[in-house]
Amino acid sequence: MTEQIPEIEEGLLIQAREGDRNAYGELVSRCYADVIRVTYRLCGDEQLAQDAVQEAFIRAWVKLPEFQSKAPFSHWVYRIAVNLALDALRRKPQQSLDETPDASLLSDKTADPETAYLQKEQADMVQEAVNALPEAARSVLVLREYGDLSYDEISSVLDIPVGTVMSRLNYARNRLREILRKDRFEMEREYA
Amino acid sequence: MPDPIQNKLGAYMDGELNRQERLEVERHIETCAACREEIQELTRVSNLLHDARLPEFTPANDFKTRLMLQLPRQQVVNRQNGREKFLWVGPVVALVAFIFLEVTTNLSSILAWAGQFGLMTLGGGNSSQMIWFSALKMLPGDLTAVPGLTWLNLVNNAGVLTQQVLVTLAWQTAAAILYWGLFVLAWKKTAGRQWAGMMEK
Repeated sequence: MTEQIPEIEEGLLIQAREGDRNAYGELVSRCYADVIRVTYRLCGDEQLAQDAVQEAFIRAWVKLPEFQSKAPFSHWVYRIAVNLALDALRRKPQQSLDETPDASLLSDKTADPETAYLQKEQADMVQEAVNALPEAARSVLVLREYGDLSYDEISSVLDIPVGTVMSRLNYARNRLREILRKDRFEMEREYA
Repeated sequence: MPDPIQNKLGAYMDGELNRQERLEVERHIETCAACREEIQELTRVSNLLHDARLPEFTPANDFKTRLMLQLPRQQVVNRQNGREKFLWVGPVVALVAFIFLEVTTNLSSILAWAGQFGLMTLGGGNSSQMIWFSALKMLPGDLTAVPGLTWLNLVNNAGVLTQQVLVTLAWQTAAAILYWGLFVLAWKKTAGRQWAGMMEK
């Protein structure tokens, strides 16, 4: 179930490999949203994710002439961005999400303040649960749930066997369930 | 519920099972409430993950504009197509073959001259007979002289000739490889220094 590269992307890749920056810009536009979403979910830090994604696209540009795979360009960028984000995360001092106020989540003008706050609480709860997973399991989960990659594609991006993808995903989901069940219970108790 | 089925529920939800496995799981969950509940739980967790709000990232256009300013000059690597990549092979092979032949021709002359003075004689005994031929001759009745087996003499002569040619060729080849190897090492050293100088510019 590996996705084939669309024709239009193939054309852009050929031009970009020849040095066409506009073609590369178009490739970036097509996959930026997916890449930043996956990278953010992997590391839970907005600034770190933005920096990692920017660096990933720069590295992909430099190494583009060597990219000969038939897989979508975004999968290759996922691989670079995942590695960069995990490296940066290891170097970063650990701090909880509460210490990094994310004003952007509260800036939704369509929601009333209480709803926006509850949404932020839930988003933080989910992200903290994902952050609590070991790196190996987290990478697989994020690529599956947020990148929508098949098991074969995840296996290719992370360079691990498909069986390992399955076992890590099972572990991640079971672990998430335990953490979220506990968090939900505490949240319901707090707001009761 | 059986462990093998439980381990497949996630893959079933993701649509990653083959037909046989999928049917196996579907048959099982028809009668197993625990597995149905497990699938619902997995779906709920997945929905929670998807519903969690994301921060407002830099818009794609702004990101692209900023990125374009930071892209370095792309390193041009070898983008030649398959055929162009191997155009240099022909001339190099011809040159190598020429050097090899020249060396072996010159060396064969030296070896022939050395052979005249007995300097390159290898092995002892009767050089006009193969060992097996000599053994046959020594047997009672001299099998090599039996009518109907005289073709053995032809085989022996062919073997002796091949042996002499092969030994001479082996010497020539060894000497040529040694000569060529030293030549390549010397060239590599000089060429390597030149390339390093060019890349620094």
